[in-house]
This record gives sequence, structure tokens and C-alpha cells, in this order.
Amino acid sequence: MNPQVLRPRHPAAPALRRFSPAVVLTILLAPIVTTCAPTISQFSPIAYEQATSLKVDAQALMSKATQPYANHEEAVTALTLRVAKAYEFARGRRRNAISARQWEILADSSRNLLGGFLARWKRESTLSATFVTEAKGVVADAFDTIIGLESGKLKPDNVK
Amino acid sequence: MPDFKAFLSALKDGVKGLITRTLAEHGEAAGKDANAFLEKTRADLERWTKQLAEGALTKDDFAFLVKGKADLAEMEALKQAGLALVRVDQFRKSVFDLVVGTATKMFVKV
Repeated sequence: MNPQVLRPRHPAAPALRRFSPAVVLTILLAPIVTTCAPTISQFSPIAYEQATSLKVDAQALMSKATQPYANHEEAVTALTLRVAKAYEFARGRRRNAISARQWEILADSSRNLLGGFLARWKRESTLSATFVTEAKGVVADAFDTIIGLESGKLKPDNVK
Repeated sequence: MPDFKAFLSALKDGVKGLITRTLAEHGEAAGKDANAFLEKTRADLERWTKQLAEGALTKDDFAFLVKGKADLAEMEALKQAGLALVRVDQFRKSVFDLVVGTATKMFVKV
């Protein structure tokens, strides 16, 4: 039996043979090129700077939570505003939902990271030194997850 | 001129290598992060339990910190999910570079 007879042939095969390999290659590559849009945002130096700077400022402010909240209310309001701006910046970037969700968890006053810590400080006026030290460690690690993801994103130079 | 079969065969070998490398690198990095997180959590819980027993932490302090760790675990998982997407982008770019590079080498006369 002649195997040639059994081999299925694509209906477009005779037409494709008329084109040069370069044209066929272009046809083959087109889907790859058009689907090359990134699945996650690229690295943003602004987002990175926001996260590292807020980490340092948040840690400094948390250290003061052994003192009455009323003495630092303005500083808390200012920091909360800056965190909200960082969240909005993250939310506004395309394909950046994961980073935005991280900021949301960090800032949420009903959770137990930075937002929750500041809310508890306000509620209880002062917090114990041991608790403040330990909470600072957890919040620092939370900031590091944001910083780690941002710094792990592809730099624009690596995408071209 | 080289035929298409040789081109596809070269591509197949290249893509196989890319997949192996990408999976190995990602697995190693994610595994390291997970181990570091678990190790730190174990040490923190041990210390907090001791501080609770000694009265340095109240029950509310302890509960807040443990819930904070759970929130942190969620943020760490999000980080890993994001880094996995970065690997996907890196992989797609590498496949594109491989296809173009191989095609250029085999079909384009200099």
C-alpha cells in the first residue's frame, strides 16, 4: 500500500507551496507576535520607590505606638493618605491587579496588617512595646511581598 | 535552502530546553520563598507563644499577630502568583526570540 495515499493533506497545502518560506514564516509568527502582550505589568520605578519609602515611614510611625495615638494623629492621617495613593497608583496600572490587591490587604483597617494596626492604636490609644515590635516585623514582611513582586517584574528593556 | 522539517526540529529542541529551564528556575525560587516563609512563621509563633505565656503579649495581641500572619501568607501567595506570570511572559518572549533567531539562521542569507 502506498503511504502517500493515506497521508491527510491540508486543503491549503498547494496554495502555501506557492509562497516563499519568508511569507510562510510571517504567517506562522503572526499569532505569536499578536499574543505577545504581557500578562502582568512591567516594573515601575515609581511603584518600587513608593513601596520602599512607605515601608520605612510606616515602621518609624509604628514605633511611636507606645505613645498616645492623639499625639500622632496627623502623622497617621498623612501616612494613610500616602498608602491610599500608592493603592490607587497600583490599581490604575494595566494588568496590575495582583499588586493592587496586595496594597488593599495591607491597608485594610479590618485586617491585621498596617491598616489594622493603626485602627487598633486609635482604638486603644497606646500599645505595648512587645506587641509593637512584633507587629512591625509582620508589617515589614508584608511590604517586602509588594517590593519583591515589583522588583521581580520584567524591566521595559527586557521586554523589547 | 534548509527545509521546514529541519527548522521545526531545531525549534522543538530549543523549546524543550526552554521549558525545562523555566520550570526548574521557577520551582527552585518558589520553593526557597515558601521554605523561608514557613521557617520564619514557625520561629515567630514559637516566640509569640512564649511571650503570651510570660504576659508580655495579651490574648488580643497574640490573636492580632496570628491573624496578621494569615494576611501576610495571602500577600506572599499573591507575590508568587505574580512572579509566575512574570515567568510566563519571560517564556513567551524566549519562544519568540527562538523562533525568529532559528528562522533567521536557517532561511535568511547574509
